[in-house]
Amino acid sequence: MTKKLFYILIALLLFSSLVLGACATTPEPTEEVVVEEPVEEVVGEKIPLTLYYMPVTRFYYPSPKEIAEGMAADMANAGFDVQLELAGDWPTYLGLRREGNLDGLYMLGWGGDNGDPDNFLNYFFGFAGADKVGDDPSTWVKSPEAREGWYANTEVAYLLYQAAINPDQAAREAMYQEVEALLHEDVARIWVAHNNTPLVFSSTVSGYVPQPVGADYFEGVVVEGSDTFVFGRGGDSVQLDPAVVTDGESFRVTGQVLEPLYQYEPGSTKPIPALAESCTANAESTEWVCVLRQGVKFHDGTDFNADAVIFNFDRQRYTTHAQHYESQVYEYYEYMWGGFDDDSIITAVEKVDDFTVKFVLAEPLAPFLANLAMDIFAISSPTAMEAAGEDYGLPSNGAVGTGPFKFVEWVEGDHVTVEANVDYWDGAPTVDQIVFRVIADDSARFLALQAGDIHGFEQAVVEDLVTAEAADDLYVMTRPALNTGYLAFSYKIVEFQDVRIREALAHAINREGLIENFYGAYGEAAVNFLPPLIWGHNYDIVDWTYDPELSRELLAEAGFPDGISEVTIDPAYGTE
Amino acid sequence: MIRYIFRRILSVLPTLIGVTFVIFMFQRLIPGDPAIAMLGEHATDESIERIREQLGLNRPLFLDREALVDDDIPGFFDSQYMRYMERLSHLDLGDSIHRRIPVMETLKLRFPATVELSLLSMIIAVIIGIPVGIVSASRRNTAIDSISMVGSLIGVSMPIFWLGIMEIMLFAVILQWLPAGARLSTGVEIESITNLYLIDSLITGNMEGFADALSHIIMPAVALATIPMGIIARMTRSSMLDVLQEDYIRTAKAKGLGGRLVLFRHALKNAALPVVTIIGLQAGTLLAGAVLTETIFSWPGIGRWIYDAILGRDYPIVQGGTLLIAIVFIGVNFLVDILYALLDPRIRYK
Amino acid sequence: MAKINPEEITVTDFAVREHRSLWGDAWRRLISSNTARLGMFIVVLFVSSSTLSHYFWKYEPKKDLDYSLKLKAPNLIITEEIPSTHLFGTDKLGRDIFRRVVHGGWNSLRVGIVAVSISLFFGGAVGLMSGFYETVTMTMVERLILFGTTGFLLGFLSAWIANQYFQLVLYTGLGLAAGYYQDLFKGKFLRMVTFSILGAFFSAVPGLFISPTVALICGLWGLFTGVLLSRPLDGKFFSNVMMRLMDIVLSFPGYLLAIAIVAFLGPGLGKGMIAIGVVGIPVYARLTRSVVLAIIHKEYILAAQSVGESHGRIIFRHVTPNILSPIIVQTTMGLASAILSAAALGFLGLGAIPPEPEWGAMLGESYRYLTSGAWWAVLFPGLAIMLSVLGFNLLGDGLRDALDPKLRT
Repeated sequence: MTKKLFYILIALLLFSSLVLGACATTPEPTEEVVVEEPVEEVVGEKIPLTLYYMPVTRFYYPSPKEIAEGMAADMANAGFDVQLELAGDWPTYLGLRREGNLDGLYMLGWGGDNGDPDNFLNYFFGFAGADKVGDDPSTWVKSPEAREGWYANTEVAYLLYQAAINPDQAAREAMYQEVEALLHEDVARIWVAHNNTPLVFSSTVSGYVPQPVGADYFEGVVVEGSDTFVFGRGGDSVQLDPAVVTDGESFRVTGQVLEPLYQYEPGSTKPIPALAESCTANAESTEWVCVLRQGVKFHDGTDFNADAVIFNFDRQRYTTHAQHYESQVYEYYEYMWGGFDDDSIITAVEKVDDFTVKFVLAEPLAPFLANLAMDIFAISSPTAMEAAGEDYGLPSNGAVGTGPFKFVEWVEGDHVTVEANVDYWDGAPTVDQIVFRVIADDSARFLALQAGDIHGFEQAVVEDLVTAEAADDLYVMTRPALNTGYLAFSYKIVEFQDVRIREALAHAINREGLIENFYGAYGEAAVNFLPPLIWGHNYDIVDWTYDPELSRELLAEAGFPDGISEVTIDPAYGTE
Repeated sequence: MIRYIFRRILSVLPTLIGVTFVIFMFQRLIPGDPAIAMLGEHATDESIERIREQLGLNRPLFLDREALVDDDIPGFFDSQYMRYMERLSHLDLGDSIHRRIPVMETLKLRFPATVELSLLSMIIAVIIGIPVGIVSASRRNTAIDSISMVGSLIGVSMPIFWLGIMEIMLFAVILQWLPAGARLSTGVEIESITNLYLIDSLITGNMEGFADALSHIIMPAVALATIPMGIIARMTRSSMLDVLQEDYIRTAKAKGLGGRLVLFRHALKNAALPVVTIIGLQAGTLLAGAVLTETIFSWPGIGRWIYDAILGRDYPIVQGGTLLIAIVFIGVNFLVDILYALLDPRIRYK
Repeated sequence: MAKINPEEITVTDFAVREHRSLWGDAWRRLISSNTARLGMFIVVLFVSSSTLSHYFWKYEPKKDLDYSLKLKAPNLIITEEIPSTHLFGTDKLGRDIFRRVVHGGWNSLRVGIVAVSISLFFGGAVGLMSGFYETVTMTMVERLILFGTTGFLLGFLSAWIANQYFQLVLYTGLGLAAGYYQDLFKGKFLRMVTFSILGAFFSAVPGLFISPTVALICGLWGLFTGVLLSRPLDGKFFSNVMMRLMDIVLSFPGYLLAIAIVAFLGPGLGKGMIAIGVVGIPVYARLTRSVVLAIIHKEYILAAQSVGESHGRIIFRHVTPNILSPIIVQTTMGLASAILSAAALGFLGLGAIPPEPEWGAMLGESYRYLTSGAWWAVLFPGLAIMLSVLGFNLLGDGLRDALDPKLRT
């Protein structure tokens, strides 16, 4: 044969082998194998056992992809042949979760908003609005919610409902502990870890107070050799009007410039007086009378008084209020107080006199003070808000409040500068100026700290933390954990409805190893949903041990002696 | 000449409109909700619905045919796309969904950052690439030629993000000579006239600022410059070789003109054309490389900004930013065409 | 002129002269270039190591985990602490980087091939047809297809507005009619009037069943369509439209478009292949078109046409073989850029699903450990990317020199 033909044949051979190889791929993870039963019984669709991992880093999961890889490998070694899957980016992931379409195991977490156990548990396990049929709560039944992986536990929901309206702290504590015990026994979810967020500082810095909930306290900071404290962060604040944001970077700044009526005690989650000297409830806990601090002025010189408080609460509540704009989204008001206008649990904020305010509630709300202490409900100057109109909180205007620091400037995407308020009612701060700098990349931030470009930042990889601890010119503080990372089950899956399989999975994961590798000395294994810091945490619960052998046994007991790689969707949920 | 320019502008317009259409359609087609992106873990069904309503996300996308049934012709055209085009017509790019800051404002802050980086990279690429190409061409088939051609191919093959990481590893971590992120160190102020820090600091005589800005920009600029450098070197070389074969060069040599003179006077001018074209086209590629470089070097430019907006479903930012980039692309191509026509009269009369 | 070595002169005896073919020549030239040989070597090494390791050196990424070995530097000697050798060190999960790099090649190879195939197939088809029909006059059948399809596509808007999908039939019919009766009132204003009225009529009347306003809007669109269809649409029109679409896609920066497509399709290696493939389509379209335009005036094409060969035959027998050279070169270099793009997507976390090894993803995961000194986790995957891309570029360069003797090295 001719040379030409020969070369062509060789090329063809090469090409076809490559193509064949390319085609002999492992099946795409989303491919679904439908088992068709020709006879009577309706059997659900079979899908591969999947673990959905989070596409973004959150404070409760510092390296989600790698943590997922670790968990999957652990599970594989215990007989669970798990497929990892990235459902999409963050909004897609959350969207799928909301629809209940993360068919398998999925990672998620929660950060506490106000230090109250209700804030953790009720969102997930409490009654939904639709469940509250009829006037007798003991007849209510919790129906499975798509958003919570179709898990429903009426006993738990009822306990949570009672705890939310009971003003007696001790009684509430007992109820929450029982809820924790029930959830653990039922292996409702696999609780993975709490992250005591590490904060790395240059040794020239002292006096920083990390807060488990709410903004950290900067007013006692002293920087040797400088009157400016530079704090590095990974992202910019969204806006400086706390009522319309939900992100920690915004609160980090507003927490220095504005204050609420109550605040969290330094180092704990207990609400103590701030702009209010005291708040007392009536017998039924439906009315709270707050006595306000006198002689306090906003940064623009106007007085802090009852009118200011009423203005701040009303503008969030009433959609018709002059300062309530269509373009603004008051996420947290609805979430903490139930709704706007007439749906709000706060039915009125009345002026008793210039320095006394009365909150009237539609029903008793036990976490009332804890809610009041949230950064969202900090008091801004009504004069400043009216002057700036819709642009209050944007880089051009910043925020005007009563806090220890005054807003100076905000160069979007780069830095926010605040300076000391020497007339602060609780004494002038010890540092003259704070600059919050944005350095997006983690490694770059660490390098900047080492170079002295910034004085402190939050969260780093374990290796860098080790370096920081060993270094003479750096040190690490921790923020006590008010967060939990967990692994949820989609109860749409038949196999997960068997508690033995859930328990088997719980024993399969080497949480200690995970924590050591990804959280370092700063993480702790989560025994249950509530972190130890929150009252209501049940110290008597015995955590699941890391025991792959036990996992295999339980798995065999449940009918899978050779391990499990495929699961079935319960036909009651349709073929979604 | 004017007619040619006019014709070119006219042909560019439909492309631009097509671009807005695609940008718009794409963004909305991507599943996922800006409302959920804003609310995060705390989302509830009610709050998501409320936000969607507030942001006008429930209006139909392009045309509202329901309105037509009610004989409502203005309502027919009241769709998300039409609102978008209407705002666009008076240069209002809308506000960021998450931040409510007008897109135009952030663009004015961030675009110069990317421009500065791209410009410096291009300058580096040209300063190194062209001489290398010329030297290669004049010393064809020697060791220098081979080395520089392989070198430029290595440049073209270089994954920018890897090079950036290697640079950080060497200069920031190990040697600690250069900073690894942002445009300036804390506390360094440069009066912003053009927002191009290198230029501004020179104009105001702020030498300390200049040095600081330079130390921050040099690593990303070098990383970005490698690919254009390689391409320009190769193009210059091949273009020069083409020209050097031409008759008029042989004539010049036969006349006794020295090598240098021949090179610069006759060869270079004629070889310049394709090289200029390539330089222009590379400008567009530089903008594309921005996302990765900006991520690694924490550079506050538009690349990373748009990328985050895509992931956060912040549509106005994606639309505004991508539109700007597309306009720059088209604009640069357009300028290159005009330049081509200017330099080569034969084109105009086609 | 190059120096001639006496050894290199071969005396050929005419009687036993070898049959020298075009491809043989090209091969000889390719082999003789140093850089091309280097490129070929790298490519063969890459392809064979990826393929062989995939089939013979089994690796189960799902079970690979050992915290005790995390982030260890490369070692060749077994010690008590580290009971295994790791040529490239280990990563954060204690996995051997060398093994993952070698296996990662398989994923990169696949992405490259599939992505380029998509670009080539679709882009090449578009470019080929554009270039071809731009110069060669269309047959009646082809013209009918063009008019009919134009009518069909334009009809979608009207059909959607009125929710009457049978309007599509009417529009297609109008298009076919305009194409068939191309001599009717040719070149006169009357033609435009006729078809525009027909178009308006055929879309307004069905619309009347809904409401007058719908009829009005649909009628206007029908009018516009009629005007368009009345014009002598030909290959140039088709080519213009196609190239304009390609321009629009080209106006977007490559990476951002790929990211947007992946955001749309979802993550996964397969989706990444599609995204990169789609982004590359305009490049091949433009290239094919310009090459086709360059050769279409050659005599053998004209000869074939005058003999009456069908368009299909002309395309396959005459056009395609002659445009192969630049396409092959572009494909090779396209493979290089596809691998690079795939790595970029992997770096950003889009792309291969973990724990599948993929070079870009390995880079993206490990670079945050740079500050603690884990240089090996970053150096080797990146080096792999660079070398494989370089190999394809060198090969492509060599191919370009070998396949077109007019181009000088």
